[in-house]
Amino acid sequence: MPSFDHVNYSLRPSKTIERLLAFDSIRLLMNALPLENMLYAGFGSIWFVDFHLAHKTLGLRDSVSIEADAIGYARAKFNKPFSTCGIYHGFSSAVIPKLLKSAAYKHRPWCLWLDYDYEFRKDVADEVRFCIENLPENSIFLITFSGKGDRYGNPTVRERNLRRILGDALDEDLELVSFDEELPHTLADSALTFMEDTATNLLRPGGFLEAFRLIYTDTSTMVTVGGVLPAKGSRVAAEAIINSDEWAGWDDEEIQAPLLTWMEASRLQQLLPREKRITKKEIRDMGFNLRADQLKSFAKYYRYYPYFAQIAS
Amino acid sequence: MKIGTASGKPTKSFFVRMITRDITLQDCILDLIDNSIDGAWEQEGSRPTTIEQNADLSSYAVDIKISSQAFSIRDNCGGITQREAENYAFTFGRDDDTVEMLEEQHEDFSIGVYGIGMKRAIFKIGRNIKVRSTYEDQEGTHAFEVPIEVEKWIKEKKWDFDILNGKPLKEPGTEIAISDLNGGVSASFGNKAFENRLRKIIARDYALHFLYGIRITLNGRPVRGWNITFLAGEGFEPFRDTIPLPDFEDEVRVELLCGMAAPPPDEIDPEETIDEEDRFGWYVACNGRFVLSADKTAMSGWGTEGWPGWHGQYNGFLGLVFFSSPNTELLPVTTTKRNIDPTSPVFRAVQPRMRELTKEWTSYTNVRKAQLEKAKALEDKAKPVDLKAIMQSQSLNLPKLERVQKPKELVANILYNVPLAQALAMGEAFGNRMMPYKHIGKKTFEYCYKHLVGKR
Repeated sequence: MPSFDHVNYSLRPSKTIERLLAFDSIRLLMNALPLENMLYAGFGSIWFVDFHLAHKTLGLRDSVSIEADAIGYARAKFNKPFSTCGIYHGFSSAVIPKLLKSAAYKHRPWCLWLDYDYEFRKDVADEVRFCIENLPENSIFLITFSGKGDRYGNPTVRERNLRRILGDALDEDLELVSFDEELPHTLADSALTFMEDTATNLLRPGGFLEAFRLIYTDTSTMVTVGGVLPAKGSRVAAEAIINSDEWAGWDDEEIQAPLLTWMEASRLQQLLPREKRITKKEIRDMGFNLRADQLKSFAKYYRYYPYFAQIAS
Repeated sequence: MKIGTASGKPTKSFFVRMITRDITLQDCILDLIDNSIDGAWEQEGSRPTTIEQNADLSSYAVDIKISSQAFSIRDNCGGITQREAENYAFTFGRDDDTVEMLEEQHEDFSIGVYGIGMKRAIFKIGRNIKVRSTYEDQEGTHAFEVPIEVEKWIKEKKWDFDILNGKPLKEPGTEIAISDLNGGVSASFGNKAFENRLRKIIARDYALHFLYGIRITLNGRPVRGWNITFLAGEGFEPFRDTIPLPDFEDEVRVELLCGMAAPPPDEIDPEETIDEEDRFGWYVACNGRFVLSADKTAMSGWGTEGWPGWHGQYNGFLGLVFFSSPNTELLPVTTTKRNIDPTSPVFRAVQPRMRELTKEWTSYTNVRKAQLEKAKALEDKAKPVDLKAIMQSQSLNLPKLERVQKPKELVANILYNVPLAQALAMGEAFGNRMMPYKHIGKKTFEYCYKHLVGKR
């Protein structure tokens, strides 16, 4: 069943935070690199949440959404948010190569975000390799995939399964914990190494700059990684942005945003920003309660925390 | 009547380009490790010509650091003397007098013959080089350094390098530090996958030296050498013998070992990686350094002149050929030291024996298919034996399984496509979401047969 039939993409606070962190970072890159006519491409589904951000927040005029499911394609066409958003029917592995050959898209940078519902498997590796090898210079490339353990087999076979797909991108001598509790981190690091290795083997003049590493959990743990494929002359500027304190696209901790009511989030937000940690006592004095990890997460990501409202019709 | 002179002078830049062309970055690093190991053996006074029980390199260490900015390799293997630096360590090639002198000084059984390894490596890697050496002699401890700025050196007329006074290293040894890395080198050295590949290759190709205790670290982490073992017992016994070479008596020694390093696979699925660890096949070592590793190609003989071509069914086979000679020119090694010269007379003399032994293994794997359960029962009981502990045995012993002529059963080959998501879900239901499709097919058939048709 296509995931849009059971997941409303506009909810999921951790995913929302992840998306905003990524877009905040892309905005910084746009200030430093020649990305004015960048194309935004990905899997818009029927909600197009990131497409709204790309057009309105980043000012990207043109976008492309790819949908493989026939019904999904019809609904995507119906729901497309802007006149300059092209909807393409087919698998990304077939559509992207075609688009990259077209005169309209082959000479401009892309911001391509392939948000897979599933695990990092062989066809994902093949597609990542293709994109790294063929995206135009100054493109930004992100992928999101499942970090859930059982997607990669039971713990005793996970390393073997992953080594088949990732090869030398997967470190040697990893402990069992790297394929268990720490699996999302192992996947994130290995996928980034895989991307860099592909660019290095091809000797792309500007190489590949690792820039995005965000692990988040709503109902399931997902991993987002990616980077920039700068032109040779843009590499230094891109590197400076990515290494700056403002860069939000890289986080070594997992994003697990609490599900809060509007009132709870507003009351907490009134206490921020501040240096001192919000204590549980403060929360209890306000009249409600949260776990320490939930408090910590909100304090860290409050600027990106989404407020959901249900509108009764 | 001479009317002029046509210049035949070599140009430095051409020379540097030529010597750095035919070698990979990884092989350059291995060349530098070779030099360190040669130094260690020199300190020990000799190099074993066979797998030696008592050889001990545990007091020697090689530390390698690679990054997108710089490269360095440092060892405590005795260093280069000033005399060596002045006379041949930095020359491009070795003249006959130097070769003779080295042989007289028992600088033999090394692997470098062309006198080019270090220069080729450092010029390949970068443009700002500093070689530091600390050594001891009867007069005490000495230290020098040789700085090389490649672009500046190329423009100069002289080919020599200045030797300057240097600060001593902590222990007698050599350090090579390189910055201003060449294009492509910086990207490779900054790439984690390159480091992982290099680590694997060092672990495999210096397995013998790790056996003797040498320590090699890469970016601060020790490289864990491949522990070479063969399985023995239950009718399995690896082959180990010296192969006589009458035409090269006293000059070249050849020792050959082969056997089962791991049980063969039950079946080979085309979707599965044939040899996930890339360790099976033939290895050829020259003076202790593997120059051909895990070979499954015509280079070692597979698929040529009466040899079967490699097939995944043969996984589990390990063959090691050790050539040793004080005269390195007789060894079957190419200039890159990463391949063998298949036309080499000593190699061709050994190949028939390699072929016979290989065929014994391939024959076993064929017969085994008809008696799989019996074979597996024996294979599972065989125990690993360390390389050093393998006894001399003039035959490769494998269990005698009868060739069973099974009555031909008519079979049906069932092939069908299903949506990928369903295949993955089925694999997950069987306990491994990434189960090979062939296995999913078999398991689903067996499950349905059991529940819909009943037992056979």
